[in-house]
Amino acid sequence: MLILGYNEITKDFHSLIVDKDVPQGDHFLRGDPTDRATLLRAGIEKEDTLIVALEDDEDSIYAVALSRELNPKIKIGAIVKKAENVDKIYAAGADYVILESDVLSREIIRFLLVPRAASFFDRVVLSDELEIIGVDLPKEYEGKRIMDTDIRRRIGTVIAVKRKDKIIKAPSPKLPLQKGDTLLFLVERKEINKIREMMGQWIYHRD
Amino acid sequence: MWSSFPLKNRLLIFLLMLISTILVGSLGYVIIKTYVEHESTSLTNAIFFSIATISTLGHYPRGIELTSDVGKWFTILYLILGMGTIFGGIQALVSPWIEMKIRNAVKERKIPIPKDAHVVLCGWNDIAREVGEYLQMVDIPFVIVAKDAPLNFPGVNGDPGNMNVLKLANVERASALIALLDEKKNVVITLTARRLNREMRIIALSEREESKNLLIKSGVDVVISREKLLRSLLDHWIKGDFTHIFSGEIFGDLKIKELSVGKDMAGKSLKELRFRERVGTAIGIYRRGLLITNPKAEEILKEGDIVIFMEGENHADTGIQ
Repeated sequence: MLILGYNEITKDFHSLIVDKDVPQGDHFLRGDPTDRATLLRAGIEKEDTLIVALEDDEDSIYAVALSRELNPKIKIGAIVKKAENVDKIYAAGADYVILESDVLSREIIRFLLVPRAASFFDRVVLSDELEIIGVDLPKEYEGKRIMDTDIRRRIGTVIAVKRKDKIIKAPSPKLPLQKGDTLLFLVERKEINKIREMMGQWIYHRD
Repeated sequence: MWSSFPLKNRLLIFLLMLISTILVGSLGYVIIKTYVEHESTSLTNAIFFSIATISTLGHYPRGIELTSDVGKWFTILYLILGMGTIFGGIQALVSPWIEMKIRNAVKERKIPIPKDAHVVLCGWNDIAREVGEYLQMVDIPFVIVAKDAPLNFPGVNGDPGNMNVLKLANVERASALIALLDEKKNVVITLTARRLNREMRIIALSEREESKNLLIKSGVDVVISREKLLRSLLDHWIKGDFTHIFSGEIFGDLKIKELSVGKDMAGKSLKELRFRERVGTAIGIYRRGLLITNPKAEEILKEGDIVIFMEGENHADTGIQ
């Protein structure tokens, strides 16, 4: 993984960080992240993931376009500050874009209106105390409705079903399960091993 | 001394000073004309002399000016006194009037400031705009307090770290305050606002995780750490885990909600209440500060429980889409 932009957000990622002003160290490279030669020197052609989080949105957009040109296969995630730049940076070739003000304002609104749900989800997103896991549907459940199985009792509430590229959120207990479905659960981290023991190999902790 | 009087009183004082200046001038004129220069004069001449002098007219018609040395010295001193009265008075009267005109022209606000149970947004930036637009959409009253508060929302122009400015936003009766400036400013805002209102919820933004404790000590209830939140989102994306897939739900359309269990629901299980069909999928229950994840359908709800649930795409559906 390669990171463009050294700041509060990126400084603790243990990957090569490229920026004009970086501390001395093995995983830092001093240089202009919007410069072709710098990106090549950082080895962008061989990387699989790129994070772009530069101070200036325009620099980020340019860096994404340049990186996409240098490595058509790389996965690019970017952070922008202005709403108008979201479409531009996607057009430049980013795969995942975070609009800073959007994320922060929604977090604030949630803490304002549904504080318990907000702190609940902070446990999932921020602390990993809770985790969303995926379990491949065991053969014995194929064709059955969720309510006719012992899934809820054995693991927990199915919060979503991943069916091919589609996600069925908060599925009805009457939903018939199909071969190839992945069931999504929200579980406490300490329970994960217990479930893994129980369910064997078909648990996706992480890809 | 001027600034301590309201405008109406200033006008009165100015008029009194003007009249007494003219009286002093006229009296001096009559005395000098009669007893020093031994000439006869009239009240009209005396007032004419006074006004011509203090208005710096610069020319006296024949027979009006004082010709003796004493008379000339009197004219000089009186000129200085009179100018002081006129210019001092004009400055004291006109400048606040102009100031008031400018202030009204620039900051004329038509939207009233909510009086109670409202949200006070401190600082004006992209986050404040998005929060404001959302609150407007769901009809929750709010006010923006910032040096550059916009005109299209209820607002107070001023420093949100200043107690008088916060009072203008009726912070005493607000239900929540959101501090969106830098950490230093947010600490000052919180300390100030807490003196006015102990009950309201204060949510503050912090650039760095390390400032969290300081903000909480100052009286903030919820600290939103920009660094931590953005880094976590990136982290989940890099790992490509299921939390990332769900970040749209978590950060998107707010489909995850909470519900307080009242008397009507207490004592019944989720199953009995047909919670799934009628409300949504329960994914957690807060009970006396403890979190129960994955509640069973047989879980009996207690009064005061807070159920966290996800709204389905359609409550009554059969699940086949």
